[in-house]
Amino acid sequence: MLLQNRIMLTVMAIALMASLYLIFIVVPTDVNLGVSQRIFYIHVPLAVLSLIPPLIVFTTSAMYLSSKASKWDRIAHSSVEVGLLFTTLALITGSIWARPTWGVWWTWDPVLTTFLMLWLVYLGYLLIRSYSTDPDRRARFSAIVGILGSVNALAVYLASELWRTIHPGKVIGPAAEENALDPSIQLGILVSFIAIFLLFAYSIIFRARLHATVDQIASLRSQLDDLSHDTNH
Amino acid sequence: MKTYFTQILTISGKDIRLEIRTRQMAVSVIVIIVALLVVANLAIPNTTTTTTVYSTTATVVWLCMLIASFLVVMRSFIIEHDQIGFQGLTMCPVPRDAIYLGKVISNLVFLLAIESVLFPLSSILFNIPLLTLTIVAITVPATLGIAGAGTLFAAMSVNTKAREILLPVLFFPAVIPIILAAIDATQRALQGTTGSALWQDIGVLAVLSIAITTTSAILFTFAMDE
Repeated sequence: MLLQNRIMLTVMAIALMASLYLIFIVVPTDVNLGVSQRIFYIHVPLAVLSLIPPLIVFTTSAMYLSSKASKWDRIAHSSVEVGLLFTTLALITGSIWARPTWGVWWTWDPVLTTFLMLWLVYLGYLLIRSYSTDPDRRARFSAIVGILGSVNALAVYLASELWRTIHPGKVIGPAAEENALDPSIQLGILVSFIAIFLLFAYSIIFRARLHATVDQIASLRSQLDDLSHDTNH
Repeated sequence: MKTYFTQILTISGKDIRLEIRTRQMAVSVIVIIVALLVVANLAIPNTTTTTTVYSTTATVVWLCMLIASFLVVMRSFIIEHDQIGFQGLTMCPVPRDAIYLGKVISNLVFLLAIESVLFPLSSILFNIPLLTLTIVAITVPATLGIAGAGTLFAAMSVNTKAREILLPVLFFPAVIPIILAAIDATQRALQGTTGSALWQDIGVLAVLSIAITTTSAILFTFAMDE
Protein backbone atom coordinates (compact mmCIF):
# COMPACT_ATOMS: atom_id res chain seq x y z
CA MET A 1 0.00 0.00 0.00
CA LEU A 2 2.79 2.42 0.97
CA LEU A 3 4.79 1.74 -2.20
CA GLN A 4 1.65 2.08 -4.31
CA ASN A 5 0.96 5.43 -2.66
CA ARG A 6 4.49 6.65 -3.31
CA ILE A 7 4.36 5.65 -6.98
CA MET A 8 1.02 7.40 -7.44
CA LEU A 9 2.23 10.54 -5.70
CA THR A 10 5.49 10.63 -7.71
CA VAL A 11 3.70 10.21 -11.05
CA MET A 12 1.20 12.90 -10.06
CA ALA A 13 3.96 15.30 -8.96
CA ILE A 14 5.90 14.80 -12.20
CA ALA A 15 2.75 15.32 -14.31
CA LEU A 16 1.86 18.50 -12.39
CA MET A 17 5.40 19.92 -12.78
CA ALA A 18 5.39 19.04 -16.49
CA SER A 19 2.02 20.71 -17.02
CA LEU A 20 3.17 23.89 -15.22
CA TYR A 21 6.34 23.94 -17.37
CA LEU A 22 4.26 23.56 -20.54
CA ILE A 23 1.71 26.19 -19.50
CA PHE A 24 4.16 28.90 -18.52
CA ILE A 25 7.25 28.22 -20.70
CA VAL A 26 6.42 26.17 -23.81
CA VAL A 27 2.87 27.09 -24.89
CA PRO A 28 2.67 30.29 -27.01
CA THR A 29 0.51 33.23 -25.87
CA ASP A 30 -2.93 33.27 -27.51
CA VAL A 31 -3.25 35.92 -30.24
CA ASN A 32 -6.79 36.97 -29.37
CA LEU A 33 -7.13 36.30 -25.66
CA GLY A 34 -3.57 37.13 -24.58
CA VAL A 35 -1.88 35.80 -21.48
CA SER A 36 -5.19 35.23 -19.63
CA GLN A 37 -5.88 32.25 -21.88
CA ARG A 38 -3.17 30.27 -20.04
CA ILE A 39 -5.58 29.74 -17.15
CA PHE A 40 -7.60 27.52 -19.49
CA TYR A 41 -5.06 24.74 -19.11
CA ILE A 42 -6.02 24.56 -15.44
CA HIS A 43 -9.66 25.66 -15.70
CA VAL A 44 -10.87 23.24 -18.38
CA PRO A 45 -9.62 20.01 -16.70
CA LEU A 46 -10.96 21.25 -13.33
CA ALA A 47 -14.37 22.05 -14.81
CA VAL A 48 -14.66 18.84 -16.84
CA LEU A 49 -13.60 16.68 -13.87
CA SER A 50 -16.12 18.49 -11.63
CA LEU A 51 -18.85 16.77 -13.65
CA ILE A 52 -17.69 13.29 -12.61
CA PRO A 53 -18.53 13.47 -8.84
CA PRO A 54 -22.32 13.84 -9.43
CA LEU A 55 -22.23 10.56 -11.38
CA ILE A 56 -20.19 8.82 -8.66
CA VAL A 57 -22.38 10.29 -5.89
CA PHE A 58 -25.61 9.24 -7.63
CA THR A 59 -24.40 5.67 -8.17
CA THR A 60 -22.74 5.12 -4.79
CA SER A 61 -25.64 6.74 -2.88
CA ALA A 62 -28.13 4.43 -4.62
CA MET A 63 -25.82 1.48 -3.84
CA TYR A 64 -25.66 2.55 -0.20
CA LEU A 65 -29.45 2.81 0.15
CA SER A 66 -29.95 -0.63 -1.38
CA SER A 67 -27.07 -2.46 0.36
CA LYS A 68 -26.35 -0.35 3.52
CA ALA A 69 -22.63 -1.11 2.99
CA SER A 70 -20.68 1.79 4.51
CA LYS A 71 -17.98 1.69 1.81
CA TRP A 72 -20.44 3.23 -0.68
CA ASP A 73 -21.19 6.02 1.77
CA ARG A 74 -17.47 6.69 2.19
CA ILE A 75 -16.89 6.87 -1.58
CA ALA A 76 -19.88 9.22 -2.01
CA HIS A 77 -18.65 11.42 0.84
CA SER A 78 -15.11 11.58 -0.59
CA SER A 79 -16.41 12.37 -4.08
CA VAL A 80 -18.46 15.26 -2.72
CA GLU A 81 -15.46 16.67 -0.83
CA VAL A 82 -13.25 16.49 -3.92
CA GLY A 83 -16.15 17.68 -6.10
CA LEU A 84 -16.60 20.73 -3.87
CA LEU A 85 -12.90 21.56 -4.10
CA PHE A 86 -12.82 21.15 -7.90
CA THR A 87 -16.06 23.09 -8.44
CA THR A 88 -14.80 25.94 -6.24
CA LEU A 89 -11.51 26.08 -8.16
CA ALA A 90 -13.33 25.85 -11.52
CA LEU A 91 -15.61 28.75 -10.52
CA ILE A 92 -12.66 30.87 -9.32
CA THR A 93 -10.40 30.18 -12.33
CA GLY A 94 -13.34 30.71 -14.71
CA SER A 95 -14.11 34.03 -13.08
CA ILE A 96 -10.48 35.16 -13.30
CA TRP A 97 -10.54 34.38 -17.03
CA ALA A 98 -13.98 35.94 -17.62
CA ARG A 99 -13.07 39.34 -16.15
CA PRO A 100 -10.47 40.40 -18.78
CA THR A 101 -12.22 38.53 -21.63
CA TRP A 102 -15.94 39.18 -21.13
CA GLY A 103 -15.49 42.27 -18.93
CA VAL A 104 -17.51 40.69 -16.10
CA TRP A 105 -16.67 38.31 -13.26
CA TRP A 106 -19.92 36.41 -13.73
CA THR A 107 -22.65 35.82 -16.29
CA TRP A 108 -25.81 33.68 -16.03
CA ASP A 109 -24.76 31.19 -18.66
CA PRO A 110 -26.29 27.66 -18.33
CA VAL A 111 -22.88 26.14 -17.63
CA LEU A 112 -22.04 28.70 -14.94
CA THR A 113 -25.47 28.39 -13.32
CA THR A 114 -25.14 24.59 -13.23
CA PHE A 115 -21.74 24.84 -11.56
CA LEU A 116 -22.98 27.26 -8.92
CA MET A 117 -25.91 24.93 -8.29
CA LEU A 118 -23.60 21.91 -7.99
CA TRP A 119 -21.51 23.87 -5.53
CA LEU A 120 -24.62 24.58 -3.40
CA VAL A 121 -25.66 20.91 -3.51
CA TYR A 122 -22.21 19.80 -2.36
CA LEU A 123 -22.30 22.25 0.53
CA GLY A 124 -25.79 21.02 1.50
CA TYR A 125 -24.52 17.43 1.41
CA LEU A 126 -21.60 18.22 3.73
CA LEU A 127 -23.82 20.28 6.05
CA ILE A 128 -26.38 17.52 6.53
CA ARG A 129 -23.51 15.18 7.35
CA SER A 130 -22.14 17.51 9.99
CA TYR A 131 -25.56 18.20 11.52
CA SER A 132 -26.67 14.56 11.78
CA THR A 133 -25.51 12.96 15.01
CA ASP A 134 -26.48 9.34 14.39
CA PRO A 135 -24.03 7.65 11.93
CA ASP A 136 -26.69 5.50 10.22
CA ARG A 137 -29.02 8.46 9.79
CA ARG A 138 -26.12 10.61 8.56
CA ALA A 139 -25.30 8.11 5.80
CA ARG A 140 -28.96 7.69 4.79
CA PHE A 141 -29.75 11.40 4.73
CA SER A 142 -26.62 12.31 2.80
CA ALA A 143 -27.31 9.53 0.25
CA ILE A 144 -30.78 11.01 -0.30
CA VAL A 145 -29.34 14.52 -0.71
CA GLY A 146 -26.68 13.07 -3.04
CA ILE A 147 -29.24 11.39 -5.31
CA LEU A 148 -31.64 14.35 -5.50
CA GLY A 149 -28.74 16.81 -5.84
CA SER A 150 -27.18 14.96 -8.77
CA VAL A 151 -30.52 14.75 -10.58
CA ASN A 152 -31.15 18.39 -9.80
CA ALA A 153 -27.83 19.57 -11.22
CA LEU A 154 -28.87 17.98 -14.50
CA ALA A 155 -32.34 19.56 -14.28
CA VAL A 156 -30.83 23.01 -13.68
CA TYR A 157 -28.62 22.59 -16.72
CA LEU A 158 -31.59 21.57 -18.89
CA ALA A 159 -33.79 24.33 -17.42
CA SER A 160 -31.27 27.11 -17.92
CA GLU A 161 -30.33 25.77 -21.35
CA LEU A 162 -34.00 25.87 -22.37
CA TRP A 163 -34.82 29.24 -20.92
CA ARG A 164 -31.65 31.27 -20.63
CA THR A 165 -29.69 31.24 -23.83
CA ILE A 166 -27.68 34.43 -23.30
CA HIS A 167 -24.81 33.09 -25.39
CA PRO A 168 -23.55 29.70 -26.53
CA GLY A 169 -22.25 27.62 -23.64
CA LYS A 170 -19.45 26.26 -25.80
CA VAL A 171 -17.59 29.58 -25.48
CA ILE A 172 -16.19 28.52 -22.13
CA GLY A 173 -15.64 24.93 -23.26
CA PRO A 174 -12.47 23.70 -24.93
CA ALA A 175 -13.70 25.18 -28.26
CA ALA A 176 -11.20 28.03 -28.02
CA GLU A 177 -8.27 25.65 -28.17
CA GLU A 178 -9.68 23.57 -31.00
CA ASN A 179 -8.88 26.29 -33.51
CA ALA A 180 -5.28 26.49 -32.37
CA LEU A 181 -2.78 24.90 -34.73
CA ASP A 182 0.23 24.79 -32.43
CA PRO A 183 0.87 21.18 -31.33
CA SER A 184 2.40 22.44 -28.05
CA ILE A 185 -1.03 23.76 -27.10
CA GLN A 186 -2.54 20.31 -27.61
CA LEU A 187 0.28 18.77 -25.56
CA GLY A 188 -0.27 21.39 -22.84
CA ILE A 189 -3.96 20.47 -22.57
CA LEU A 190 -3.25 16.75 -22.59
CA VAL A 191 -0.58 16.91 -19.86
CA SER A 192 -2.67 19.24 -17.66
CA PHE A 193 -5.62 16.93 -18.05
CA ILE A 194 -3.59 13.87 -17.02
CA ALA A 195 -2.00 15.71 -14.07
CA ILE A 196 -5.28 17.10 -12.77
CA PHE A 197 -7.07 13.78 -13.34
CA LEU A 198 -4.42 12.02 -11.22
CA LEU A 199 -4.88 14.64 -8.52
CA PHE A 200 -8.65 14.11 -8.68
CA ALA A 201 -8.53 10.30 -8.56
CA TYR A 202 -5.84 10.24 -5.87
CA SER A 203 -7.74 12.72 -3.69
CA ILE A 204 -10.92 10.60 -3.82
CA ILE A 205 -9.04 7.37 -3.05
CA PHE A 206 -7.05 9.05 -0.26
CA ARG A 207 -10.15 10.60 1.35
CA ALA A 208 -12.12 7.33 1.12
CA ARG A 209 -9.25 5.47 2.86
CA LEU A 210 -9.05 8.18 5.50
CA HIS A 211 -12.80 7.91 6.18
CA ALA A 212 -12.44 4.12 6.44
CA THR A 213 -9.69 4.58 9.06
CA VAL A 214 -11.79 7.09 11.00
CA ASP A 215 -14.76 4.65 11.00
CA GLN A 216 -12.46 1.83 12.12
CA ILE A 217 -11.11 3.91 15.01
CA ALA A 218 -14.66 4.87 16.06
CA SER A 219 -15.80 1.24 16.07
CA LEU A 220 -12.66 0.13 18.01
CA ARG A 221 -13.28 2.91 20.51
CA SER A 222 -16.88 1.85 21.06
CA GLN A 223 -15.75 -1.78 21.49
CA LEU A 224 -13.21 -0.61 24.06
CA ASP A 225 -15.90 1.36 25.88
CA ASP A 226 -18.14 -1.73 25.95
CA LEU A 227 -15.26 -3.84 27.30
CA SER A 228 -14.38 -1.37 30.08
CA HIS A 229 -18.08 -1.08 30.90
CA ASP A 230 -18.30 -4.88 31.24
CA THR A 231 -15.16 -5.09 33.47
CA ASN A 232 -16.50 -2.34 35.76
CA HIS A 233 -19.53 -4.45 36.41
CA MET B 1 -56.13 0.67 -2.82
CA LYS B 2 -59.11 2.37 -1.23
CA THR B 3 -57.52 2.03 2.21
CA TYR B 4 -54.28 3.54 0.89
CA PHE B 5 -56.09 6.68 -0.32
CA THR B 6 -58.05 6.87 2.94
CA GLN B 7 -54.76 6.75 4.85
CA ILE B 8 -53.32 9.58 2.73
CA LEU B 9 -56.44 11.70 3.13
CA THR B 10 -56.60 11.06 6.89
CA ILE B 11 -53.05 12.31 7.35
CA SER B 12 -53.56 15.39 5.18
CA GLY B 13 -56.99 16.01 6.72
CA LYS B 14 -55.45 16.04 10.21
CA ASP B 15 -52.98 18.79 9.22
CA ILE B 16 -55.59 20.87 7.42
CA ARG B 17 -58.02 20.60 10.36
CA LEU B 18 -55.27 21.66 12.77
CA GLU B 19 -54.50 24.74 10.68
CA ILE B 20 -58.16 25.70 10.27
CA ARG B 21 -58.58 25.52 14.06
CA THR B 22 -55.42 27.42 15.02
CA ARG B 23 -54.77 29.63 11.92
CA GLN B 24 -51.22 30.06 13.22
CA MET B 25 -49.44 29.60 9.92
CA ALA B 26 -51.85 31.45 7.61
CA VAL B 27 -51.64 34.73 9.51
CA SER B 28 -47.85 34.79 9.85
CA VAL B 29 -47.21 33.75 6.23
CA ILE B 30 -49.57 36.43 4.89
CA VAL B 31 -47.88 39.11 7.03
CA ILE B 32 -44.48 38.02 5.70
CA ILE B 33 -45.72 38.03 2.09
CA VAL B 34 -47.22 41.52 2.37
CA ALA B 35 -43.98 42.79 3.93
CA LEU B 36 -41.98 41.25 1.06
CA LEU B 37 -44.26 42.84 -1.54
CA VAL B 38 -43.84 46.24 0.12
CA VAL B 39 -40.05 45.89 -0.08
CA ALA B 40 -40.24 44.57 -3.66
CA ASN B 41 -42.23 47.60 -4.88
CA LEU B 42 -38.93 49.50 -5.06
CA ALA B 43 -37.69 47.00 -7.64
CA ILE B 44 -40.64 47.72 -9.93
CA PRO B 45 -40.51 51.40 -10.94
CA ASN B 46 -43.57 52.88 -12.65
CA THR B 47 -41.58 54.45 -15.46
CA THR B 48 -40.18 51.27 -17.04
CA THR B 49 -41.72 49.34 -19.92
CA THR B 50 -44.45 46.74 -19.34
CA THR B 51 -42.05 43.92 -20.28
CA THR B 52 -39.68 44.88 -17.47
CA VAL B 53 -42.59 45.15 -15.02
CA TYR B 54 -43.85 41.69 -16.04
CA SER B 55 -40.48 39.97 -15.75
CA THR B 56 -39.67 41.62 -12.40
CA THR B 57 -43.10 40.91 -10.92
CA ALA B 58 -43.04 37.26 -12.00
CA THR B 59 -39.70 36.91 -10.18
CA VAL B 60 -40.94 38.73 -7.07
CA VAL B 61 -44.10 36.60 -6.84
CA TRP B 62 -42.16 33.32 -7.09
CA LEU B 63 -39.53 34.53 -4.63
CA CYS B 64 -42.36 35.20 -2.17
CA MET B 65 -43.66 31.67 -2.80
CA LEU B 66 -40.18 30.23 -2.20
CA ILE B 67 -40.00 31.86 1.22
CA ALA B 68 -43.62 31.00 2.06
CA SER B 69 -43.11 27.37 1.08
CA PHE B 70 -40.04 27.13 3.33
CA LEU B 71 -42.17 28.29 6.28
CA VAL B 72 -45.05 25.96 5.40
CA VAL B 73 -43.04 22.75 5.00
CA MET B 74 -40.90 23.47 8.06
CA ARG B 75 -43.99 24.12 10.16
CA SER B 76 -45.69 20.90 9.02
CA PHE B 77 -42.88 18.82 10.54
CA ILE B 78 -41.94 21.01 13.51
CA ILE B 79 -45.44 20.60 15.01
CA GLU B 80 -45.13 16.83 14.61
CA HIS B 81 -41.63 16.76 16.06
CA ASP B 82 -42.36 19.03 19.04
CA GLN B 83 -45.55 17.22 20.05
CA ILE B 84 -44.02 13.78 19.38
CA GLY B 85 -46.69 13.29 16.70
CA PHE B 86 -44.15 12.10 14.19
CA GLN B 87 -43.24 9.11 16.33
CA GLY B 88 -46.94 8.24 16.38
CA LEU B 89 -47.16 8.64 12.61
CA THR B 90 -44.19 6.34 11.97
CA MET B 91 -45.66 3.75 14.36
CA CYS B 92 -48.97 3.76 12.47
CA PRO B 93 -49.54 0.66 10.33
CA VAL B 94 -49.44 2.73 7.13
CA PRO B 95 -46.84 2.65 4.36
CA ARG B 96 -44.18 5.38 4.61
CA ASP B 97 -45.11 6.79 1.20
CA ALA B 98 -48.72 7.26 2.41
CA ILE B 99 -47.34 9.48 5.21
CA TYR B 100 -45.28 11.35 2.63
CA LEU B 101 -48.18 11.82 0.20
CA GLY B 102 -50.50 12.88 3.04
CA LYS B 103 -48.00 15.56 4.06
CA VAL B 104 -47.49 16.62 0.41
CA ILE B 105 -51.24 17.05 -0.07
CA SER B 106 -51.68 19.14 3.09
CA ASN B 107 -48.65 21.29 2.18
CA LEU B 108 -49.98 21.65 -1.37
CA VAL B 109 -53.36 22.82 -0.03
CA PHE B 110 -51.65 25.36 2.26
CA LEU B 111 -49.45 26.67 -0.55
CA LEU B 112 -52.36 26.95 -3.00
CA ALA B 113 -54.30 28.83 -0.32
CA ILE B 114 -51.37 31.25 0.09
CA GLU B 115 -51.19 31.68 -3.69
CA SER B 116 -54.91 32.49 -3.79
CA VAL B 117 -54.07 35.49 -1.60
CA LEU B 118 -50.66 36.38 -3.08
CA PHE B 119 -51.69 36.40 -6.75
CA PRO B 120 -54.74 38.70 -6.49
CA LEU B 121 -52.81 40.96 -4.12
CA SER B 122 -49.86 41.23 -6.55
CA SER B 123 -52.28 41.86 -9.42
CA ILE B 124 -53.74 44.82 -7.55
CA LEU B 125 -50.49 46.21 -6.14
CA PHE B 126 -48.41 45.94 -9.32
CA ASN B 127 -51.24 46.31 -11.86
CA ILE B 128 -50.54 43.05 -13.72
CA PRO B 129 -52.94 40.38 -15.06
CA LEU B 130 -52.02 37.47 -12.75
CA LEU B 131 -55.53 36.05 -12.46
CA THR B 132 -55.79 33.96 -15.61
CA LEU B 133 -56.29 30.27 -16.31
CA THR B 134 -52.81 30.08 -17.85
CA ILE B 135 -51.26 31.28 -14.58
CA VAL B 136 -53.28 28.61 -12.72
CA ALA B 137 -51.96 25.99 -15.17
CA ILE B 138 -48.40 27.13 -14.32
CA THR B 139 -48.96 27.45 -10.58
CA VAL B 140 -50.47 24.04 -9.83
CA PRO B 141 -47.60 21.85 -11.19
CA ALA B 142 -44.96 24.26 -9.83
CA THR B 143 -46.53 24.20 -6.35
CA LEU B 144 -46.75 20.40 -6.43
CA GLY B 145 -43.00 20.16 -7.13
CA ILE B 146 -42.19 22.66 -4.37
CA ALA B 147 -44.39 20.77 -1.86
CA GLY B 148 -42.91 17.43 -3.01
CA ALA B 149 -39.26 18.39 -2.51
CA GLY B 150 -39.99 20.50 0.58
CA THR B 151 -41.80 17.71 2.42
CA LEU B 152 -38.88 15.31 2.00
CA PHE B 153 -36.24 17.82 3.10
CA ALA B 154 -38.32 19.08 6.04
CA ALA B 155 -38.79 15.49 7.28
CA MET B 156 -35.03 15.00 7.14
CA SER B 157 -33.85 18.31 8.56
CA VAL B 158 -36.30 18.23 11.49
CA ASN B 159 -34.34 15.21 12.72
CA THR B 160 -31.01 17.04 12.79
CA LYS B 161 -29.32 19.47 15.18
CA ALA B 162 -29.78 22.67 13.15
CA ARG B 163 -33.13 22.16 11.41
CA GLU B 164 -33.94 25.83 10.65
CA ILE B 165 -30.53 26.41 9.07
CA LEU B 166 -30.32 23.11 7.26
CA LEU B 167 -33.74 23.13 5.56
CA PRO B 168 -33.16 26.19 3.33
CA VAL B 169 -29.67 24.93 2.44
CA LEU B 170 -31.17 21.69 1.12
CA PHE B 171 -34.58 22.90 -0.02
CA PHE B 172 -33.76 26.11 -1.95
CA PRO B 173 -31.22 24.55 -4.36
CA ALA B 174 -33.55 21.55 -4.84
CA VAL B 175 -36.43 23.71 -6.06
CA ILE B 176 -34.32 26.09 -8.17
CA PRO B 177 -35.19 24.25 -11.44
CA ILE B 178 -38.92 24.46 -10.67
CA ILE B 179 -38.75 28.11 -9.59
CA LEU B 180 -36.72 29.04 -12.71
CA ALA B 181 -39.22 27.23 -14.93
CA ALA B 182 -42.21 28.80 -13.15
CA ILE B 183 -40.76 32.33 -13.37
CA ASP B 184 -40.06 31.90 -17.07
CA ALA B 185 -43.51 30.49 -17.84
CA THR B 186 -45.19 33.27 -15.79
CA GLN B 187 -43.17 35.93 -17.64
CA ARG B 188 -44.25 34.45 -20.97
CA ALA B 189 -47.88 34.20 -19.90
CA LEU B 190 -47.87 37.83 -18.71
CA GLN B 191 -46.34 38.98 -21.98
CA GLY B 192 -49.21 37.36 -23.83
CA THR B 193 -47.38 34.33 -25.25
CA THR B 194 -49.91 31.65 -26.16
CA GLY B 195 -49.96 28.36 -28.02
CA SER B 196 -47.32 25.64 -28.17
CA ALA B 197 -44.40 27.70 -26.79
CA LEU B 198 -46.18 28.33 -23.50
CA TRP B 199 -47.66 24.82 -23.26
CA GLN B 200 -44.21 23.37 -23.80
CA ASP B 201 -43.03 25.37 -20.77
CA ILE B 202 -45.96 24.14 -18.69
CA GLY B 203 -45.33 20.57 -19.87
CA VAL B 204 -41.66 20.74 -18.81
CA LEU B 205 -42.73 22.18 -15.46
CA ALA B 206 -45.24 19.36 -14.94
CA VAL B 207 -42.70 16.66 -15.86
CA LEU B 208 -40.10 18.23 -13.54
CA SER B 209 -42.54 18.44 -10.63
CA ILE B 210 -43.87 14.90 -11.03
CA ALA B 211 -40.29 13.58 -11.35
CA ILE B 212 -39.16 15.38 -8.18
CA THR B 213 -42.25 14.32 -6.20
CA THR B 214 -41.98 10.67 -7.31
CA THR B 215 -38.24 10.52 -6.53
CA SER B 216 -38.89 12.19 -3.16
CA ALA B 217 -41.67 9.67 -2.35
CA ILE B 218 -39.25 6.78 -2.97
CA LEU B 219 -36.44 8.46 -1.01
CA PHE B 220 -38.79 9.34 1.88
CA THR B 221 -39.24 5.63 2.69
CA PHE B 222 -35.44 5.39 3.07
CA ALA B 223 -35.29 8.60 5.13
CA MET B 224 -37.82 7.24 7.65
CA ASP B 225 -36.34 3.73 7.69
CA GLU B 226 -35.46 3.59 11.41
